[in-house]
Amino acid sequence: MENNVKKGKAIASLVLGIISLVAAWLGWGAIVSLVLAIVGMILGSQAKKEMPADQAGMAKAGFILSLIGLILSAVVLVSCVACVGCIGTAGVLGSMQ
Amino acid sequence: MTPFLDIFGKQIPVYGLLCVIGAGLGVFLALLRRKRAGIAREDVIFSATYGIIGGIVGAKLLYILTLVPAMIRAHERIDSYFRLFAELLTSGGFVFYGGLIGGILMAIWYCKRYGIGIIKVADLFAPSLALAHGFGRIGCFLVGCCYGKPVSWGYVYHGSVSAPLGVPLFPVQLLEAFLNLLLCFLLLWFDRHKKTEGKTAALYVCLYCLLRFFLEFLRGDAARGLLLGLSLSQYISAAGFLILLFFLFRYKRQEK
Repeated sequence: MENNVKKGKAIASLVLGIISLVAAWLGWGAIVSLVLAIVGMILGSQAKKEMPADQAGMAKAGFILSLIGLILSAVVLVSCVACVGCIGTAGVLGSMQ
Repeated sequence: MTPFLDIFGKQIPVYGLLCVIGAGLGVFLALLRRKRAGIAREDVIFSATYGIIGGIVGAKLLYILTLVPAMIRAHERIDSYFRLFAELLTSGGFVFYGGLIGGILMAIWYCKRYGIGIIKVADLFAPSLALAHGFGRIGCFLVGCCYGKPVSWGYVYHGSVSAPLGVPLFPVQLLEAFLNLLLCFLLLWFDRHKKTEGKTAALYVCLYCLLRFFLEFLRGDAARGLLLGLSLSQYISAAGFLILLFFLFRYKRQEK
């Protein structure tokens, strides 16, 4: 039963990693890719830590794909707080002035 | 200075790219030093991962928190809080201190869950944090955010969407980048000579809080919000410094 949970985490990590990568590359939204990548990395790291080394290949692959998805989405999303007032939230904050 | 680089036809934000490069170099530096610290390679990568995830979430949450006073003042004009929060989440806005706190909390959670020495990990990553932050500040300079006060000899932005255009500004971002890189080298040297675990991390917190507190006086971006003449980051720096002094004092008393 416990083995199934660990395997499930590894599979989920791999699936989320692939979707995150596709989402980032096709421009479905960096935030979508970021969230999927974060969940994928957490599940992948937990599966990798809990499974024997010779069975953790899928977990490792899921972690790496999620990491790439995180990098691609973080490059787009991360910017300094001072930038936001001008770029992303000018419309939102403007309505509050 | 351009906030975007054209790579294979895609417009890549420079700031995000430099943050990712900085984080990558920080993790690489930690991997180079891990054997001396006695930490497994997998634990370095995973604790860094949890730290980065916590950093992203923490930085975003603190950014949203800094906007709460403005939201309260304008609550009558807000049509949909859902739309507002969706826009805030999807826009690029993060605060370093929120990231630092969030990152530390997540890394501590990982260390506790898998029985890894938290203090050892803190000492390992302290120089990496300074290095990554230095790269982030170079990104700030290239984009024009977190700009300094106007000075006659300063750098003039012509195409930035953040900095005032045509005004010579003190390059406080480059100064902070340089000081962070200097801090990284100092911490690397100190770590090789320290006798007690935890001192490298403590030194990082102490010096960064001081550095940030005084550099804030050179900042010209008032949009960050000021209270009684001090910015949020200055309050956090002062609080961080005092909390560290408290723990160091308590640790010394326990030693005696």
